[in-house]
Amino acid sequence: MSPLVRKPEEKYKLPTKYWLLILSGISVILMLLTFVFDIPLKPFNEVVSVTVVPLQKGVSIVGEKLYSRKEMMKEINELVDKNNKLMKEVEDLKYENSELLQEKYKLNSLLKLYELDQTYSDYPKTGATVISASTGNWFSTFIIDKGSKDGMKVGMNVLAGGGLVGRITEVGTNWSRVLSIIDDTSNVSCMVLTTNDHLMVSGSLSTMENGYITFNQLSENATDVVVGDKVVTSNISDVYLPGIQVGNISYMEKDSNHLSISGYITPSVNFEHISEVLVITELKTELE
Amino acid sequence: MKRVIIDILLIILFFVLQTTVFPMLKFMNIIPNVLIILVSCAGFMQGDRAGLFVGFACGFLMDICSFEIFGFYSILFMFIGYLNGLFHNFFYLKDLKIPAIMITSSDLVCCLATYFFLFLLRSRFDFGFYFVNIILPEMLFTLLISVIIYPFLWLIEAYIFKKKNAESS
Repeated sequence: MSPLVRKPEEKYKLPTKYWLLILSGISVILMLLTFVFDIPLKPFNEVVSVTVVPLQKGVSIVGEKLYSRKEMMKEINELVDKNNKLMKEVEDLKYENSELLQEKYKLNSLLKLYELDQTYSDYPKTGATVISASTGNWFSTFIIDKGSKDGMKVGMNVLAGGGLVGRITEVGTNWSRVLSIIDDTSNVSCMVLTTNDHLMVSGSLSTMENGYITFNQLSENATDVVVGDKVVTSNISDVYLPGIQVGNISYMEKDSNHLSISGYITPSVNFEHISEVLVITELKTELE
Repeated sequence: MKRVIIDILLIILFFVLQTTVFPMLKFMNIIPNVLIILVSCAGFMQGDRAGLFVGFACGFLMDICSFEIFGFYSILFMFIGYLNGLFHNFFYLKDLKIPAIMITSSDLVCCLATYFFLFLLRSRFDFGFYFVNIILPEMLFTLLISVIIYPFLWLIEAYIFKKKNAESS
């Protein structure tokens, strides 16, 4: 509505066009601050931790309960069958385990001898619950219910089900945002477990439709690498701790430049239903 | 004043729905964009001014929770709300065709902008793939959800309208 036709008793309001201009200006400045100068915007994070996060927590807890109830009814029969089968397997495994434990004891003492006992089961970890998924279909980020008051920091690695999920990119008082490795903008420096050849794992929206993420920059000389090899985070990565499982190579082909190999990796984490994650409370930079 | 409070509550409600409930209900891996429904409706129901502020607030929340470049969704949603507000004069409560067209085209604009600025500029050229697999399903799903949500917003609007008329007379 034009400001010229306002009633005389109405209070003066700044015309909408000016508001449009002012708010656009603010947005552009914020974009420049975050994109060009890479300045984190702490105060705005606090707005969300006060208003939205408590609600999200409530809704996700209720939703999770309802969902699990529904799933429970459906799966109860399957589980009885499975349980019987597994009980048999447990007996076999118990025997095997006792043998392996003896070997592990031997291995540990040997590793101590070599001072090599740093494996990723030793990293200090803490559990967290996913309270909110990404807001759209383009990116794979999510929010967890722990923040700076629980000791979360930007760059911490996030695991689920024994594999790498992603890393924390933003921290509020009682929430943190996790960028998952299947996100289109995510890149992880990895290596093949068997041969120690380095490669770069990138999330991709287009291949994630079929359950894959992509890798590239594997050296053409890495002829020992075969389909099915395990891929773990590499020791030269800036942000990811070494030796965390990422997935298995499921397809590879030589690039047209004949210098490198690229292909697909099946991630070891099922990204469909992540509800609980583990956060490694140690940063890569602290290790050095 | 009442309108401002109701708008703020609606924004928070829709944002919580968008981030918690709808990802659980996702169909073919696609989440409907309910925030765009709110922004678009606020625009053509309440005028360009309300559309602008609701759009900015929704975009602001989206920015905090989704992407590295802060301010991208703020500016995008703000303009969508404002442009929807320009069609305020064509708005009749009983008519459903115009809101449907407005919501769908708003979602299309939002998707295209996301693709162009955040994907095409990172050399993801396969527009056909993204259109068929993400933009089109999201548009259809959003339209479907808006059929459920629109009457709800419509009721709130009718209620406030009545109150307003009673107060002024």
